Amino acid sequence: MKRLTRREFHSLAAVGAIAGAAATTPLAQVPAHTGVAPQSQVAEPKPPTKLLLTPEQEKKVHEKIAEREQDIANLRSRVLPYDLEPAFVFRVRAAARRPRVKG
Amino acid sequence: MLSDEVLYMSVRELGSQIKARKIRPVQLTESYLARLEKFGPKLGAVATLTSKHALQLAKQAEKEIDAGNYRGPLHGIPFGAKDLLATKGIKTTWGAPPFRDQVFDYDATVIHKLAEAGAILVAKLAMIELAGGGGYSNASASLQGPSRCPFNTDHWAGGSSSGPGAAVPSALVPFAIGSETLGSIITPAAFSGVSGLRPTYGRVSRHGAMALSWTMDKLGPMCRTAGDCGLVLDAIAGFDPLDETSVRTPYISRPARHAAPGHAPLEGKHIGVIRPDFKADGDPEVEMAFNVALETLRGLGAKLEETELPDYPYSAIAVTLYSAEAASIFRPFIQGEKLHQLVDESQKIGLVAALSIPATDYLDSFRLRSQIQTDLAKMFERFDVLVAPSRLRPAPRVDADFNASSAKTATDKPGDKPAEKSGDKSGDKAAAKPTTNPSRDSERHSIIAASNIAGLPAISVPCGFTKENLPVGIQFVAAALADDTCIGFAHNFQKVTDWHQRRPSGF
Repeated sequence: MKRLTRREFHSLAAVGAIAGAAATTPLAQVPAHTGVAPQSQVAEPKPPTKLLLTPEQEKKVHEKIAEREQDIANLRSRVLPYDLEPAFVFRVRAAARRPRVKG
Repeated sequence: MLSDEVLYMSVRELGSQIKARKIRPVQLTESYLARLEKFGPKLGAVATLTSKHALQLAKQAEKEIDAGNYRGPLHGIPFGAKDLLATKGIKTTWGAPPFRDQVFDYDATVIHKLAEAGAILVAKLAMIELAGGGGYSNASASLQGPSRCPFNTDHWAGGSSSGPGAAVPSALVPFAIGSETLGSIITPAAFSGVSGLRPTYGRVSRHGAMALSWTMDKLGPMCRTAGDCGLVLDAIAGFDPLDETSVRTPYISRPARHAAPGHAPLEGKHIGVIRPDFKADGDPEVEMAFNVALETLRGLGAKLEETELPDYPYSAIAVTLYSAEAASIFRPFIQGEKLHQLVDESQKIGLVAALSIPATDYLDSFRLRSQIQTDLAKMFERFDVLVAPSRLRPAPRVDADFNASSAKTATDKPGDKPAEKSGDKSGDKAAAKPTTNPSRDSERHSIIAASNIAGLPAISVPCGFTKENLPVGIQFVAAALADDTCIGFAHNFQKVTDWHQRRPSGF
């Protein structure tokens, strides 16, 4: 797989940032070697590309995503306080102790 | 073989009989194995029988007890485990055809703890495939086929802990371990007439349980009495270094306290009543049973006050949280060919669609989760527990399409507003069609979604039966880590009611 140059990476990341919350195709799904930008927020929701779906299943996935967009509208309409942090906790972990090697 | 009278005893009663050597573990195990073999297929309750393993353990228990080494109230007691718990050398199918031959080389912590307590695993029990993580459209969404409610076998046992739902009230096992992400213990407990406890998040180690959602999965006991739930929780609760989310706060099971002479058992207790709009969302027979249950609680001395949940889009938050996590957990599976071996088409579609949940929606759900935890904690400054109907409708028929109006029970009127908005990923659909944009009113009664988001404990116990002989459940929800409070209220309720003692005919 072709490695991205720093410039290509920033180009992709910038478009992703502009697309914001409504972008429905994760950055990781865009094949890196094409250099194609991610789907913009105005694009039709698109299922991931690697899946082995029949046309009928793809249609249902589109419908499901559209249904979820409706369900989630109320969540997205909330104005969250700037300082409201997520309710999960990340803990640092001490490195596992290894037995000393003698000699 | 032991009589049905014995096999329908509570865990506590069986334990004291074993301790007194009036019942022998081998005979008890053989008797339950015989019932599992005889009735398991009819109820669709069993994934794998563990007969050889069970009989070895029973013999060992018998020797230990005879030698005076009695381990405690679960010593020599058989049990079943939902088939998402890893068991060393025994198949763990996750209820899904792609995993039909999966065998782990270790035991889940909960299995290990029960073995330490001397309990005997007699069966891995049926479940909805992958615990219904993608959503499912019918009761048959399982490698094991549909599980049936023992009280009316034309109807579903509930999911996704469907095997425990079918096996416990029919005395195929004295108790079982189920799991809940969003309603999967409370729903089968309600639909099948079980006393089912969903402990506080982190109270029971998740190590070795199929991960659907790291932040919402809980394991809990499904028994025939609330008191038994406390006994089993006693054995399985506790910090586990193999699950960093398990809590260090010890669980202390307090035997039910007797009221002082001249005082009612729940005197001075405040209960917040979450009353859904039954006319819009529910079933009149469920409403009637719920109202009678409230009167019973009032008669026990509790002060009841109607209340509502704080205003949040609980269903959307809960679904976003677990769907995004499930998509991450199962991504390689979803992107592979084995996805297509799943039974239910809705599962496949739901899992694929979950791959595209934006990270911002997931994070916003987590941020709202902080607020919800705080706001719900405030409710428990006013109330000892919240009560609500466990489900707004009784169990649907086993052949019902959960996505269609036909999923409604006979008592539903055509044109009823679809779905009860409890937020259960399966139960909503089981009760009726999934919805878009649940109304603010109905969200204020979404106790299953709200309490699962906040990781609060809840217990569902039977509080009546419909004319079709379908169980109705009432749930008690308490503050985080107040598991024993839930159990205590339910235990007091069961001291003056006998719904939990009903036996299904033919079993």
